[in-house]
Amino acid sequence: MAFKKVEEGKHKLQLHSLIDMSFILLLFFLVTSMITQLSDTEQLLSIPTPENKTGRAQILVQIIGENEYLYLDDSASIIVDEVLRNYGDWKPWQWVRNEIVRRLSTQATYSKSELLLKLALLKKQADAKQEENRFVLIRCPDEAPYYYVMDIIQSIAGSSNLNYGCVGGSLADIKNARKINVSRKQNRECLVIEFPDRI
Amino acid sequence: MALSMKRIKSESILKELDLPTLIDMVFLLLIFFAATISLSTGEKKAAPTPEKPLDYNLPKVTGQVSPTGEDVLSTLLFQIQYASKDSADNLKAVYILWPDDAGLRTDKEAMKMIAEELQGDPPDSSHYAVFPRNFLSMSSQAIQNSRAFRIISDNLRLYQEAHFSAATKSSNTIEIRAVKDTEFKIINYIMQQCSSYDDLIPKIAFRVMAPEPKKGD
Repeated sequence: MAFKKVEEGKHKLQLHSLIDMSFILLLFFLVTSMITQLSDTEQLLSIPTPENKTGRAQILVQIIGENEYLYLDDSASIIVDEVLRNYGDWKPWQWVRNEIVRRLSTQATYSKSELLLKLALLKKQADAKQEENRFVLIRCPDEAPYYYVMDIIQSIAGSSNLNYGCVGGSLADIKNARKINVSRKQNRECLVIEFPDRI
Repeated sequence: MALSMKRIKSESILKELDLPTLIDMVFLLLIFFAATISLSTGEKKAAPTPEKPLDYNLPKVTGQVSPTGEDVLSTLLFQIQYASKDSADNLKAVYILWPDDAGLRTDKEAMKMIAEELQGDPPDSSHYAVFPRNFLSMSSQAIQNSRAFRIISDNLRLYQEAHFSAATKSSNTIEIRAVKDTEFKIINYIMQQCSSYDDLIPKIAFRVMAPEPKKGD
């Protein structure tokens, strides 16, 4: 039986391909290491210092979770007013309060992207009406990571007539509110929430 | 005769063209251009106008050589990180890093100084403290008495007395560097302390860094 003789001289290392491949690998690692370096660099996010003064806020943003936010503006007072008119006189206060919170949770709770869109619109409106000062109160649970708040502040920062304040607090504070009411001031309906005292 | 010789020559050149090498080169060029294009996309600056001339960011002539490649502290920096690398219980500590008068101290040097203070007998530093384990459930009065929160307010007061004035208001800022899962209560405390000086500290700058790996990850 005849076997084909293996010729050793024919099995040479393909130098051209080897060099090409090493160049490609070199380029690949060079580029990826540069991108990694860029992403590792610290980013400086400058925000205006919050104004923590007592007073009225036009918008209340209550952080519930990373992707769950309660956004209360003028439209929230309509929801509250409806519950108060229908049940305020004959149902116990606790029931009325729970019903308000339930309706607000279903009708005024937004995802992060929805909230950021609403805030962008708010900023646009504030820029258009320079004579009107607006105040956004951001409530965040104490134990929540701080970056939840940073995203919100970053989205409203930059407008001279849009101020904000930060306080610690959770949705449970609204659930345990001493009073939720709608008052009429300067032809505008305002939502009044009396939060329970914090220790 | 001469014409046919020329044709034969050009055909042989085409036959000798090394196709794999050509493809390799084309790919290399493609990768090169793809990489350079993706790295060089920056913000397009508006064309200069007489009202808004180009803002040149030229180095200041100070006669001092500032360290390169390291973060020089420009203002007071509150650094919040895990108290121990091995801790799995998320216990946080605050390092308060002061810049020096010459504006040459880096954050690493400031951290080294605190580490030296902590190696003393007894180990003590007015620029370092660990937050109490139960700080989330502490009352506001207990927070005020807690060492970690107290050194934050003390250092801020000292720094603003020494460096901040109404004349420098626009540039008055403090910096915070905190691990991503730092509790809002800590950051809110620092922000409230800053706002307690009315408009004297109009801005707070955050240096965001990734969370350190926890035990068991």
